[in-house]
Amino acid sequence: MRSVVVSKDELRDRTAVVGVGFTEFSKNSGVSTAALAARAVQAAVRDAGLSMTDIDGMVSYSVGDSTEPRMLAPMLGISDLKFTNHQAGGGVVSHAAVGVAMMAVATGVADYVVCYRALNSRSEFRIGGKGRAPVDRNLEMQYRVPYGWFTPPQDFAMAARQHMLRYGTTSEHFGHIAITQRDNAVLNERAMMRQPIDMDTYLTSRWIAEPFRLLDCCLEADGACAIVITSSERARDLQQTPVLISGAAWGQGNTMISGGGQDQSVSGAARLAPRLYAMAGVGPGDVDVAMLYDCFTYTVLVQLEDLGFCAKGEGGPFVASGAIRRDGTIPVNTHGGFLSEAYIHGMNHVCEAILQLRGDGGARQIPNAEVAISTGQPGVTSGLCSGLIFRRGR
Amino acid sequence: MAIDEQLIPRPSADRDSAPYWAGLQEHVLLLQRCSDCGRFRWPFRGCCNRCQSWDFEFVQASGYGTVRSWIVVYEAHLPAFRDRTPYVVALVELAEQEDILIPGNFEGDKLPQFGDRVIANYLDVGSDLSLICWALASDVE
Repeated sequence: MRSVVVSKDELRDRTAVVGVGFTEFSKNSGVSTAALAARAVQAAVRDAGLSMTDIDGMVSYSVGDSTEPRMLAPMLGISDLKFTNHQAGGGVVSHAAVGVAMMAVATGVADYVVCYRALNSRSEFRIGGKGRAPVDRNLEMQYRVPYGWFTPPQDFAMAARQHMLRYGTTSEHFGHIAITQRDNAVLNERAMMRQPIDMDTYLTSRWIAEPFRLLDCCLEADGACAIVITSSERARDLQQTPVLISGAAWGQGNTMISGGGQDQSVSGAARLAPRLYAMAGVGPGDVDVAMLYDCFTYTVLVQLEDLGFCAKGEGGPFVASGAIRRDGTIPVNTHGGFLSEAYIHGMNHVCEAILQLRGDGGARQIPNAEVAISTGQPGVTSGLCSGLIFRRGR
Repeated sequence: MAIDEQLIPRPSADRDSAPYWAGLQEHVLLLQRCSDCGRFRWPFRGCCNRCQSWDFEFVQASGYGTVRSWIVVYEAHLPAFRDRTPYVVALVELAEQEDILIPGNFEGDKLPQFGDRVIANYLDVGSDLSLICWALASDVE
């Protein structure tokens, strides 16, 4: 008798994303997170050519700021979900949420699973921390809060500094990432920031937490994104070009001060990458387009290294060379990312990867994109990380 | 720099860490040392992450360390910090053990630099809380 229904080695390409859905991205949605979630899910189900009654699984994640599947499902007229999962966390679990949906479908627990993230991160719960008390719920936060060190820009700035000290990474290097992603957003009608910027604009933007300036930071936004996952077999009969889930990996990342004083110039993605590539059966050289979690410019730079797109410590010169531009060796965040499209907490990265592989990238389409990587927060802080690799199904 | 002491957010100490915060109020930097393998633990916690032992003793740290990273905060979100911007938070590797990283504010005539040797000063912020303020060791020796 087999010990498992589906072994991890059989998960590659067994499931597919068959629909994507978006709401408008804005500074003030004017509606609840429940309404945002419902709109995005409706749009994704419609995009897949399915009806709401087909949906039998629902997954999301939040930091206590959104509407969970158990509340959303009845709102959409769904009464008998066979699989739900709501993960506690932000960007670090964004791609793990898709991963568990993949497992639910692959094992037959559910047939059509929706995965969504809805947030009013600008008009209600400011993800960046403005106007609210620190979220002081983990073991180590108590040692930081009284010193005024608890917002995400402050956290990632502390890590970015370590990379600068160790490898000579400069502000201009971070600037190249902000500029490149803005160039992409210019071509994306969904993006909130579509005015091109140059290095001077970047370098003169105000300090938030040195070494980060305003243009190192993502755009807190209101909005939602959703996807529909089913088996690759069923996907063949649906209306969209299926995008296969080739690889999914998640697990431990770094915390800021616990667990042996981690070197913050290396992210959790360095530990994640071998598992992710092995499951997908590809390497960084096979990836055509990369959606790299960019809550701040630094996370893009460190992931380029830790995911193997360039050598460790070479992230700065690599981005300065133009390698991450649309015509470069590895186009990154073609939608503009969190820095210029909107901060939809990882799900907009997944959606852009799907659009690119379907050939639906519009003016920003990367020609012949067949393999995409998309990542959650790479475990610079928060203790977890997650990532996905997709392949065009036909 | 005036600090409204009562506005400083209080740490949500847990039952493992309460002695640490009590120590700071005595202007003592306490560490937990594993009774079995001798390694220091940080942050305060029940068991040793090296040998899984639950036994430990409190040891008074020297208060010396070196700067590993720092940030300069310009945009503060709470009233307690808004009047103090720009302020520095330094992450300091304690002299006792390389993997113990203790944050604190930093005060000096110039910004800290990587590898700077620092010493913990203690700042009372009301009758219920004392905090670490790192300063260059050369300034006090």
